[in-house]
Amino acid sequence: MNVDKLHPSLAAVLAAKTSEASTIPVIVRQRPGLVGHGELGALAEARIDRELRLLNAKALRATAEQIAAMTQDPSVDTIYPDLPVHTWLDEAAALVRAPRVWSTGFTGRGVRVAILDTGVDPDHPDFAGRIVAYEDFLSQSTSGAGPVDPNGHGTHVAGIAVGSGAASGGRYRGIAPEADLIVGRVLDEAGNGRTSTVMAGIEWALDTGAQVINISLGGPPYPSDGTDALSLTCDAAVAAGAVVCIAAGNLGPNGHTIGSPSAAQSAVTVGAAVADVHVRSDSVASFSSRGPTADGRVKPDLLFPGVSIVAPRSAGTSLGTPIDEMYTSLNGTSQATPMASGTAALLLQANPNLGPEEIKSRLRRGAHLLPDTPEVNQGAGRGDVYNTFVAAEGTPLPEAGQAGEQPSLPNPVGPGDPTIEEPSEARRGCLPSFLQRFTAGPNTSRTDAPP
Amino acid sequence: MSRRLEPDFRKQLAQRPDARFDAIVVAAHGVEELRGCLPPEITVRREFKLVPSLEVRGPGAALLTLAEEQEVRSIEPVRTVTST
Repeated sequence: MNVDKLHPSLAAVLAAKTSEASTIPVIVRQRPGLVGHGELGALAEARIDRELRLLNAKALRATAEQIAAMTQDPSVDTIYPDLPVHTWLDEAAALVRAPRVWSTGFTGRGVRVAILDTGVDPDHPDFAGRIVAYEDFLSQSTSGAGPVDPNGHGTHVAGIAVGSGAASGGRYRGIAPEADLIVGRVLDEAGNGRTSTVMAGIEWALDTGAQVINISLGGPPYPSDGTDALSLTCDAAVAAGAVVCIAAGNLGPNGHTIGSPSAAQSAVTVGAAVADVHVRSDSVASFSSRGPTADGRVKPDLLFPGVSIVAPRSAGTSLGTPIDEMYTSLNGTSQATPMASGTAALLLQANPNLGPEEIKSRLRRGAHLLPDTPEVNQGAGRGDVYNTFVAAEGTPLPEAGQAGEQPSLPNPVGPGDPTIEEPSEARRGCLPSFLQRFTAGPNTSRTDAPP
Repeated sequence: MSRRLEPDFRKQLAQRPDARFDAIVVAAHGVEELRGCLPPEITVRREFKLVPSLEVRGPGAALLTLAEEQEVRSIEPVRTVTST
């Protein structure tokens, strides 16, 4: 076998392969001017899935032995693995236009975001130096052991909210990549917990200074009227000044599937959207729980992307579909919710005087209503980070497809990265006019109807 | 909100009066007043401030008795939640 023709990631796949009989999806790129023949020609006739003319390549399935034979074919240039595709976190973040807000200097720096979940991997580079508080509500020990996440769910959720993307060169960056992280471990390694433990976690998060609390969990009753103790605790946390974002749940597509605490009246309840970043269309994910609540209110309040989201993977876990050692792909309203939490952190950095009710209102006013979709399925529609800033001032929204609407990602964020910094007074003068007004002082919300 | 014990939970407590249940008891006025009327068989596991309440463990019969106290706003079972 001529290993020089194997892409390194395919070589790794072949090295790990245990069954010689099974086939591997590959893309075989041919050299210009050479007609495929020999082993490739035979395979192409028998098993070809697709011709890729721009790349002068063929997508096909082959056994390890057949791949080895193809490497001897002079017409073959390189053989790549044909990998599954995902809605990378960078694509989801771009869809909701977080990079456009980052480029103005708002990254959540100084804002405290609490994740109440299965814990966090403290050694993941995406959280380096930013875990400011941790409490394990499951451990009977009071020895003060460090953070853990034997399940992986909490690490993934935390990464979507505040991950820096450091382990991916900035690609899989969370919505508020410089926010401070508070982690309460309230779910065990199977992802299960108790309502009373979550209530204790919410109180602790508030005492620890959390400004945003992310709750990507839930349970019965279905539907809930929001008067159970956990839902009331969420409402009380909002009354105390925190933004509380709660996953709607994954019991769709049936209606009346909003449980506790997602029925909490004043919390931001987040459903999941299927977002196609290429055709820029959205729909409600089939699994996303639908309202109304038991007392007839509309929930969720809005949607964010929640399908095939790639975000940090806790070491030693295999939750979801691992992409590599550091990242994995998951579906759920759990994944949509931290996008709302991260957006709240960006807003709070821009204007710390905003209250949770105003932030919830701006999240909803900035959302894109999905056509032909009942309100009890989508709330105000699919959230848009940039619009939460724009909608606050009543600035006309840019038309879809307008130049600059989806800017390229800024440079990767890392500790001390000089490309993202707090907007200085001088730099503030260069901000778009709506952002200058937005950051200038206390709540200046508009009173007109949303666009 | 009026005092409340969900019908299904009431039924469970009545059917198993000697079994021990975990419950969240929300105070009608304050936690101290609530503590003052707890039957001796009921133990407190946690106290909550945001919604004045106690996480308790006790026999079904004792929880049914507690539900009649004026200091009790509601009693609900501690439920399981899962990651979404």
